[in-house]
Amino acid sequence: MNDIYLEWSKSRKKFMVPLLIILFLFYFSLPLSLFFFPEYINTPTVIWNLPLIWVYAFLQLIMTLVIMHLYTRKAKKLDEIVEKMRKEK
Amino acid sequence: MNLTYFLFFICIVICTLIITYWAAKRNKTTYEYYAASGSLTGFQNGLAIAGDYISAASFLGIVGTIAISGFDGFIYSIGFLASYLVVLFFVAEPIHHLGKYSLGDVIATRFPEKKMRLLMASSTLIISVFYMIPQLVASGLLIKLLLNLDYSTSVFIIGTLMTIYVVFGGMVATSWVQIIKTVLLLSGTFLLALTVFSKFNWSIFDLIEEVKLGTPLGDQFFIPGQLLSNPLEVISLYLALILGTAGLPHILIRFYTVKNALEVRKSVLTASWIIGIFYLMTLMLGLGTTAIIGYETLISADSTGNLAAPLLAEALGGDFLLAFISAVAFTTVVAVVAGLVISSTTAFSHDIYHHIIKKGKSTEKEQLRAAQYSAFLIGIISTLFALGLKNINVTFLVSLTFIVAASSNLPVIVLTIYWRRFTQSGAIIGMVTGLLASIILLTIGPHIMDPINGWIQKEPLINLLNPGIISIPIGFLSAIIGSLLTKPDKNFDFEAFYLKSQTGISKDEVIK
Repeated sequence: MNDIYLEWSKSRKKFMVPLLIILFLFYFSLPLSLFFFPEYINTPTVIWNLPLIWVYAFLQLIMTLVIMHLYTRKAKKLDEIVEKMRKEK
Repeated sequence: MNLTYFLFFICIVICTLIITYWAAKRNKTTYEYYAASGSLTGFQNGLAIAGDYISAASFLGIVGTIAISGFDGFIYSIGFLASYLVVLFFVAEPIHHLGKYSLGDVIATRFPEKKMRLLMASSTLIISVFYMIPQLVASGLLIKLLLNLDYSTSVFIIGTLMTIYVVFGGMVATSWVQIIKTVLLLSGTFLLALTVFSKFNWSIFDLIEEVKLGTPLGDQFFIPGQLLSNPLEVISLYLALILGTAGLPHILIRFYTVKNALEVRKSVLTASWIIGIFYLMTLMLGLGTTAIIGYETLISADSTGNLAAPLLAEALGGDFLLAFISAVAFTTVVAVVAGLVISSTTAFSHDIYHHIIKKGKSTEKEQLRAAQYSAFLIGIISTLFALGLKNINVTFLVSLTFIVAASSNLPVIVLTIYWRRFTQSGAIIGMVTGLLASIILLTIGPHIMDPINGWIQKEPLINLLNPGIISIPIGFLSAIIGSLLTKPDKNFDFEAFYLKSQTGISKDEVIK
């Protein structure tokens, strides 16, 4: 029981901790960039002349959904370990 | 009101009442009434979550805000969507595993004393009712504008419908009303967005150029800062939006309506896809309004910009499309308020009546009866408040709910689930301080204190419309400090609790 628990909790931590750090930086650098580099974030891009911040905002929309799919895929694998734990109890 | 409008509305009212009738026949147990017996699939629940979440304020409000202020309106959309990451990662599965009907169940698993359940139930009631009243007020004003019914009639119709759905149909009817709403809302906005796009020969570039001509802001329209000129305000708003959803009881109790963790995750995934696509379409509608209708016409119709989507519908598809979009807005309102009534009802009848007053000893039949009476009372009281508070500051109350959810409810939920050293006193201190901080900060902010037309006619002490950046840390810190100052409960088996919250495996299973 304990070994499986450790395997589960380790594998989960290894996946979640880096992910959370990246996400935190990724999401809050959008409003923070408005604060620190307003000039840079408003420079027009090649995409329909939209300022860079629009591209960044769209990236956040896409990223949210991508991360969710990654997470659910990982969670399915972790569920298998949980099932093992439940059977061994 | 002409015939087209009438037919659309009657059709929606009849359909939803048929669902309620069907649900009422199924409602034999409390599990069915409060949680639809966990019988929804992840996909259905995802549609219902989207229906529960997207209020008329986000549909009409965000289209209008984008049409008037450009990028700053879009900030809301991104924050609203990203908040589901927090829901998925931190609270959705634990709440499903730890509770049965309400958030009170979750906290009672760790802190079994009655007062903790009472605290959680009160905070659910505060958040849900304070969210419901502005929704009702705004919808009353909206239906009045769209259909020329007077304010009281509009509020009365919506209040009556939401009460009927919940009293007779419970969670089953509420869920299906929300599912229908999501389908209608998505098809309505999709239709409008496509029509807008086709007007500009399917070229985003043409649309953008036309937008610049339609707004007095010109090129500046696409630069942030038109609505929220202070970048600190943007950071604060973003924080409150991202953390707020994970503290909203009416969203969280939806995770009881599916059967396992896999379906919980599917619910969040479905809801996020829908919400993401929906906000992309509102962006298109906002830009379309500026390009096709123009700033001047929009503002002269209604200074808040809330009529952007209806005006656009009328310009593109005439009376018929306007009638359809109005019906969609109407369904949007009833679905959201029904969700709020059921979450308040659960907090009142399950937590306060069954567990606290009756000490957990009432029978299924009594509980069911109590739930229906509570739903009836909550529906009536909220409607009466909305009738009397026509002139209340709607944005103030909506901000209040999000800030309270993020600074009072969320810290306690998260620390309860994840922090070993968390104590009961810490939870009480955190919740009360978070609530007080939110109310005080909003009161001394520009919503209430305004030299020209505020309730208090003075310069605001804090110049933040969204004080989340101050109140959220206060909520978390006070809960943490409160816990560190009090003794932890040594008898509590945190490992077993944590295992159950993350995997659903209960302690008895492990010991055997």
